[in-house]
Amino acid sequence: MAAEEHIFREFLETYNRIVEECFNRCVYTFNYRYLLDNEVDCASRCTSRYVNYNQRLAMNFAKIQSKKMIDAQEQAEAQQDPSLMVNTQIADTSKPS
Amino acid sequence: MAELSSNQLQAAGELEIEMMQDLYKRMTTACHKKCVIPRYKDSELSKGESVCIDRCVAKYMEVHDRIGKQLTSMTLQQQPTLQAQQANDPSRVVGSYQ
Repeated sequence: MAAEEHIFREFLETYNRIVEECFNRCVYTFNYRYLLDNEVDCASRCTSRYVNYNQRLAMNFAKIQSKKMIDAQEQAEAQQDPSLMVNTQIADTSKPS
Repeated sequence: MAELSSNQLQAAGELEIEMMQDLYKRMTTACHKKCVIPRYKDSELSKGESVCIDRCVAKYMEVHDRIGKQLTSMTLQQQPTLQAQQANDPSRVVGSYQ
């Protein structure tokens, strides 16, 4: 439950951030109290693009993090038993291709 | 939809208050940047600035509502796609040799 709440909270924070960013970038005339058509369109495009940006960023971040973890794991295994690396290499070359 | 327990309701209410505060803070910064001219010959707000602030708040809240609706519909749209992805996950087929 705590994890769900954490995700929901993050979603709401992102929502507020989107509103601020897209307002700053899209709304620039204050001659009227209502939103102009171009401002409405700009805001909806801005939202979609921000969401796509977020997804792409998350994907890249996850990729790099997992690669870091794998590298760290391999390093830790090599440090524990350096002879392990040599043995596995010999075992691999003896396998029939 | 499952009924929320009183604890969950309370947590949701607190979360909403927090998000409202965050919204208010951001709106304050945004409208200040847009409407208050950085020329400080006078301590009073000019008429133009006052009108701008009124309209800025109205517009910000409208943008907030519209984007909220758009995000909700986007999330609901993605849910069936996500469920289908989970159903067709190839890693689930492992072990069921036929």
